[in-house]
Amino acid sequence: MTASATPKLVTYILIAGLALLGGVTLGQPELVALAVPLVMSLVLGLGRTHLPASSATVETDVDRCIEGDAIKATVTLNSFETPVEMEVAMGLSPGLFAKPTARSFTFLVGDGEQRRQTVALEATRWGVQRIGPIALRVHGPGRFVTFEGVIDERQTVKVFPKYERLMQGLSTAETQMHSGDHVARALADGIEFATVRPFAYGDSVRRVNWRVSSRTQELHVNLAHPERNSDVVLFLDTFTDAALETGSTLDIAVRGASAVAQHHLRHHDRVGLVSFGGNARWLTASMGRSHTYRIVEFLLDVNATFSYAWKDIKLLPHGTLPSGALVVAFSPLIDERAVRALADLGERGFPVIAIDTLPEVEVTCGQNREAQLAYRMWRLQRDVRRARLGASGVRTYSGAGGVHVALHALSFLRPAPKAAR
Amino acid sequence: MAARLSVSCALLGIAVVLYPVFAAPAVVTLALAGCAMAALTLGLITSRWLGAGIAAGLALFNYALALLFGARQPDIYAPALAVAGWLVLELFDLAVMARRQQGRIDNEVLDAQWRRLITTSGAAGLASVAVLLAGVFFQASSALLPAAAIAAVAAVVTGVVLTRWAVN
Repeated sequence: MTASATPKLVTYILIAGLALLGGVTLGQPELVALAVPLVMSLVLGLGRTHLPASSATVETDVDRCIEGDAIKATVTLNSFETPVEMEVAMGLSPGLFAKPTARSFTFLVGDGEQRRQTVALEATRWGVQRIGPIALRVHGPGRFVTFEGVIDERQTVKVFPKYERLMQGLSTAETQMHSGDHVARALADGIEFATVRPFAYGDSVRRVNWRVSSRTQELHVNLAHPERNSDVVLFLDTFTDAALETGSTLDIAVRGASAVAQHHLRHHDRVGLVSFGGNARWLTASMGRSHTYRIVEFLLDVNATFSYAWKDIKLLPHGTLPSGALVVAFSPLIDERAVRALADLGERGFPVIAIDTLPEVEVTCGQNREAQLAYRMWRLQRDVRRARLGASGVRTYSGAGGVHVALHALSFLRPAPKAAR
Repeated sequence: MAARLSVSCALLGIAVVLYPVFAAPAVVTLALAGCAMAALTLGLITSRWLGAGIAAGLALFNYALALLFGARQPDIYAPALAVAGWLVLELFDLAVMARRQQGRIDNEVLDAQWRRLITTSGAAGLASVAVLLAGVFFQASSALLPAAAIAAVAAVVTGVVLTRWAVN
């Protein structure tokens, strides 16, 4: 802790010195008497001032929660010396909110006693949020000297994105080998009726359609579509994070990805994740409850990282993009590298759906001519990018009105057929 | 809280600053008192100790002028003026702190501050009286100046010890 003299100390010393000097030189004992309370106060205060042996810890009632949840952080203060006035201020990540009056408080702590203060916080943004460090300002007796220091005591709380439940998932063009909830195009054993064909050697007797067989006087069997699972790869463009009135483009991307991942995992699909930005990270497609937690943990660490390096999808290992996987991309369509990577995926035959996380309605145009020209050019550039993605077989949907609305609209569509090679 | 402390400080400040004007009515003392009051008000508004320091300096200078040109010798109200002046500075300090501290202030802190103010002002008043008496009694003979100084120091030390005992 660093000690510093307060302006009060300087003022007291000056005024007391002037009064004593004036009293002695002018021979006026009244002036000396005037200095007595100041001198007494100085002796009392400075005589008991010492470097405080204080400590502070912070604890939270939860270590993980969902956006919008309330968190209680408890700061515990200890001081083993004579009671001192201790001013405490708590550092918080931007994703946590507390009333300004609740973030700092003043106590009288000493004689080895422990003081606790509980602060009500609200998790306003997903991510790994930190509570701490704790800034301490200890006022010495009389407030002539203050000791200031920062205690590097932190607690982390994992704030998961608010869960948006999708009514219906995205339809996939191709299904995989494992059983699931999607009706496959192939004909095999299943529940969903497909067609009737004449009996062939090896067909099960249980599949004979007796009504058709009796009408045609020839044995016919029922064929069905099997229920299979599908692979969904969520592609997050993390090159840029544009701030919006309500959150940012990355917020929309993470919330959307979380909703899609939860929905498809619940329906026995394999879900993979790619965070494509300054730092490329990926999670190979898998299924099950444990994978849900892996995805959530992955999403918590997603953040935009600035980089000049050119990156394309060759960077990603083979297992990241399984053959026939539906790619759902969340991108503000700002960075050329992400747009190029999505076009590449479309040209390689992946069914790709891109959700534009930068709603144009939220971007306001300036009043002067230069700003209007820049705005028009920006819109034209976006149109060009969308057209290029369209030519590569990538369907682009606007995330205006919330990603939930976009996904709801998408759930009734089937992805575009594979682009011709 | 900060507003109440500021008003108390300003009201007590007016009394302290105007005392030399009543002791020795003159244009100079009135002008100095006005300047001191303005400095204190500015200090309270801006929460800066510079204003309080200038006000205290001007008030001290004004009081010295009043003692030199005034008729009353010795001034028996000097200890009360000393305690009142010290209280003005302490109230100024509390007002500034209350304005700066945004968060919750524990009641125990406020209680300790008031307890310190009351005990210190009591002990300081007694010590001031002792110092004034020592000064007046030994003013006539310069040979007794060391004894007066020792008596003054003893008065201050006794005040300090009394206050510490009372506060703890």
